[in-house]
Amino acid sequence: MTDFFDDLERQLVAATPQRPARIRRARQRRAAATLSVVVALLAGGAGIAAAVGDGAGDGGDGPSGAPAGTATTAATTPPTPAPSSALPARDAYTVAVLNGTTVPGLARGVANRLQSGGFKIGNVTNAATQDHSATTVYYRTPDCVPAATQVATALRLGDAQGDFALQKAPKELRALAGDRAKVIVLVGSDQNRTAGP
Amino acid sequence: MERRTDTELLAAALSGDGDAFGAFYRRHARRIAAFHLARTRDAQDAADLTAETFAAALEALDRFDPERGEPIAWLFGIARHRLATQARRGAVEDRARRRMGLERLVLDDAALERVEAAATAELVRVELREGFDALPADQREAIALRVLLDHDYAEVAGATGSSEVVARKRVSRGLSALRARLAANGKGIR
Repeated sequence: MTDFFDDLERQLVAATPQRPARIRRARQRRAAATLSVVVALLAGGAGIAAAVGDGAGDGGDGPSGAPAGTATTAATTPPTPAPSSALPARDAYTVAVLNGTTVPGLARGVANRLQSGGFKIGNVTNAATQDHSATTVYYRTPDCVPAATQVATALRLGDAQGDFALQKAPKELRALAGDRAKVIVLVGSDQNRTAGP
Repeated sequence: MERRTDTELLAAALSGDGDAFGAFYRRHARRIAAFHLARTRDAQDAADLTAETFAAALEALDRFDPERGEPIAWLFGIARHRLATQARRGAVEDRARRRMGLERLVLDDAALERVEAAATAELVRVELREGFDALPADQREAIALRVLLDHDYAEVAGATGSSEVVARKRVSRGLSALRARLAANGKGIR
């Protein structure tokens, strides 16, 4: 029999000595998420925040709040030719979406959102395992990191998760994603938004 | 029983004493849950907000200033703020809980019922306590002797130097004041 009050107490007692480390970690995550949003906005100009309509309802005071307003302003001016840190155009590379959950159609839904945000979608299929909770964005080669950042930002991963892990795609993931995919989204159950409150 | 004051517990928690924060939590968790339950009317929301309130308190330990008031007032300030944020966002407010690395506790019906029962019992206890303290001294004394210590009215009259009729009147007036108080606040719960 679980008791809420006892369970929460155990967690709090354990968290208290780790408080400084956890605060530090949360700050780093927030800084990383803010940085990636800023980079994406500087380089990508208009499209980013406006494009993926699904994530627009948050309105929290997280790192995405202020930059989103900036993006709206930027949308009225022509996209500036990007400096060297430029993000590629969204349709300049292919994104594969793999379903890492048992929820049918979850990868398809994410792919549709990305597509309506201007991304070019490649393979959409099941991942090798279906037990992923956190959505992760993989890049094929290091030069695809800006593109992967762009995708992760569009999915608002940094916002929703507080975590922003870009990883190099392992071989079996690349095989599932197909040769053309520069960026691979492994969809976890955190994208299953309609089910949650 | 924990003998340290809330302020002492928070100071110890700030230097990493988990049991001190646990004791502070035990002292107030049910009351905070009752606060949230009375306003959200949903036991899972109340549980989430209780976790969020204490996670935020843990996170903000270094910002508690004993010069500016009691810890309980500070804690209720956090609770009110979290409740308002959740209402504004229209979604479970969980950012402090995530930052502090706490798991979300998803409760089944039985566990939710226990949260509700514990929170309600706490509310009744607080109301009775405060209501009892607010009674005139003669009624308080008569109720203590008759109801809590189970003396008969002759003994109550003897102990308080009054007649039996007066003793009865004091007990009955005091009890109906308590009943009225509970009834008035019960509206907030349901």
